[in-house]
Amino acid sequence: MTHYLLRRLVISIPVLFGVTIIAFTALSFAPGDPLTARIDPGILAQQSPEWIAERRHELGLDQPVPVRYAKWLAGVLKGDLGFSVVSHRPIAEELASRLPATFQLMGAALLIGLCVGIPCGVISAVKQHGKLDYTLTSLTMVTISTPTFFLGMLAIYVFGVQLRLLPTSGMATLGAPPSFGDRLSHLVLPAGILGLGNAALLMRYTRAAMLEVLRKEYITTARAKGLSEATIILRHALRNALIPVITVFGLLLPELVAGAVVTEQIFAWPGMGFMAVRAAANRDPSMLMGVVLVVGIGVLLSNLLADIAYSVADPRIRYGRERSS
Amino acid sequence: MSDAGPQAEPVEAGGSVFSGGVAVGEHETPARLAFRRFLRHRLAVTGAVALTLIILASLFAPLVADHDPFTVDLRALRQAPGGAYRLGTDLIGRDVWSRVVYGGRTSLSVGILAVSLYALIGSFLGALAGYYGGLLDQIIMRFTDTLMSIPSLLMIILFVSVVGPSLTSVIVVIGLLGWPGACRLMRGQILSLREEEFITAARAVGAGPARIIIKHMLPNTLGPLTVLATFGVAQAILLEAALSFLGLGVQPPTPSWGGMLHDAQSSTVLSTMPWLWMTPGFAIAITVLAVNFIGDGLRDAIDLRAVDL
Repeated sequence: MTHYLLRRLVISIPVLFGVTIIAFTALSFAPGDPLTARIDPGILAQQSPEWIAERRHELGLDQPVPVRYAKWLAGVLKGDLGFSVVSHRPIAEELASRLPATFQLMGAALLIGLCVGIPCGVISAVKQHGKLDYTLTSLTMVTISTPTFFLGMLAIYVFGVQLRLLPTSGMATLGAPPSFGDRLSHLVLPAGILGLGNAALLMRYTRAAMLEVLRKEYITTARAKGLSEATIILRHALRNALIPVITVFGLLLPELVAGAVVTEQIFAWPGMGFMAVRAAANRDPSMLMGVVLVVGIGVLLSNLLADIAYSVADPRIRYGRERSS
Repeated sequence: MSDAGPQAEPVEAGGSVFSGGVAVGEHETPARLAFRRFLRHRLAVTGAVALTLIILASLFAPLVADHDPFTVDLRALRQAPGGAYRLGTDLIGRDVWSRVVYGGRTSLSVGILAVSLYALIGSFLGALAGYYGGLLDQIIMRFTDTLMSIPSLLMIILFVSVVGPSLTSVIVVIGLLGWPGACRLMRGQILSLREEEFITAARAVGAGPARIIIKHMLPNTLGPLTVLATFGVAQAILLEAALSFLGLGVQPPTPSWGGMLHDAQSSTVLSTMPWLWMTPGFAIAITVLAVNFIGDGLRDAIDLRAVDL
């Protein structure tokens, strides 16, 4: 088991390096460089070419890309991600200040996704070809096909403008004394919209997995024994159906991040996605590279976690893999 | 994409893979059978009809739109629907209906061009990895894993921030970064085809790798590839819309659905001029829904339960 996990960890390290190489290659084509990031281009334009060449040499910018990559990587390993072209502040610092907001949003959305998606998937599978199944699968299809930002704008229009029920921007009311209720009410719409997309995906997978399991012979056996339908579905079918759903968890994080980028933008949620979009609009790729790096690590870790959960939940995987390795 | 026939046709030239598990009538080719099954899928046919209408409206945009999408009418700023402008005008007096019609051109061209590009790249790399295996396979698959570990929206934002936003860069960036799915699919298909007897036969009569892959294997992979590409078009349209919405995609004044929603983001416009953003929003949703329904129909029609899509 530990052996298997260690091997998975070792495999994911080259992938992480790959992410940094792709990101760095993109960056090396970008206009501007760390010098313009540290010094205002307006001031820079007044300096002599010799002075600029000297500064560039100091920063190692006259060296070939592979050397710069190695130096940059050494910095990253020490937690130094460089400076933002726009704010002239260290990127690591800016990222750290944005992460909590994003975690809060994604955590809440994930919770909503789980609480809505899995039960709906189970109901839909149990009532296959019924009216409820058609309604739920159609709703899922509509949710998946509608852009997050459009859903968000509709939600703002309905709940914020027409009904005046919920706040539609930011994490808290400006100037108001901080309170839990206020923060929660700000979280409802963004987390709801982001969670809806999650729920749709989770429902699809849960439904498919449940349908698969409900066809199995041991379910027929359970029925023949005279167990109640609820026991069969919850204790016998769902427990096995959830095993493949766990792997979906690893796939869910990239979706969540992409959704968060858009959702944070609509609801002015001051997280990492909001920052990423602003960085892109300001042509600040080094900042974006920091975001890509953090997300890459997050995705690899969540895949690893999903693998662990998978092998804990399903002994067949654990023993099968150990024998083969 | 409105018709399953042409896409599935090459299958009959290639071999018997798709007729394998299906009861084939005496003179029914697999392609015709798939087409008939597609026609029985009611939602897929609805999607096909809707998409055909949307494609026609985009192709004949000058006839469908009754105003020029770029002309600014200073006497008719922010006009509500009705009157001279069917769906109203935007903040600077341009006709919303015409912009939605022309915006369809943007969405569809991104969907079709970007997906064609990555389907080509993905199939090429996937075929190489699957056919040759070994180190080449390892390298290509690790590269695929790497690209897949970053959400495509974020990766595309990073690249767009380097090359600058425009319609071309959206198409090229989605096209160059979107191939991992196609690559994985192709690799799996080629791997299983490699064991088929008709491939051994082809090899025995002295066919080279290029001929085997292109003439004997490729036709058998077109079914699943078409399904993947169909869902890919829906994804690409959503991606372009999201990018343009974020202001990182198609730039004004070129009309695009996502861009129209971008212009309507401010809370006053959002609350007082719903016609400005609801029309393009529903246009995206309906188009993507139509494409997804077609994808579902195609998947069921060519019986792809064995392929994980």
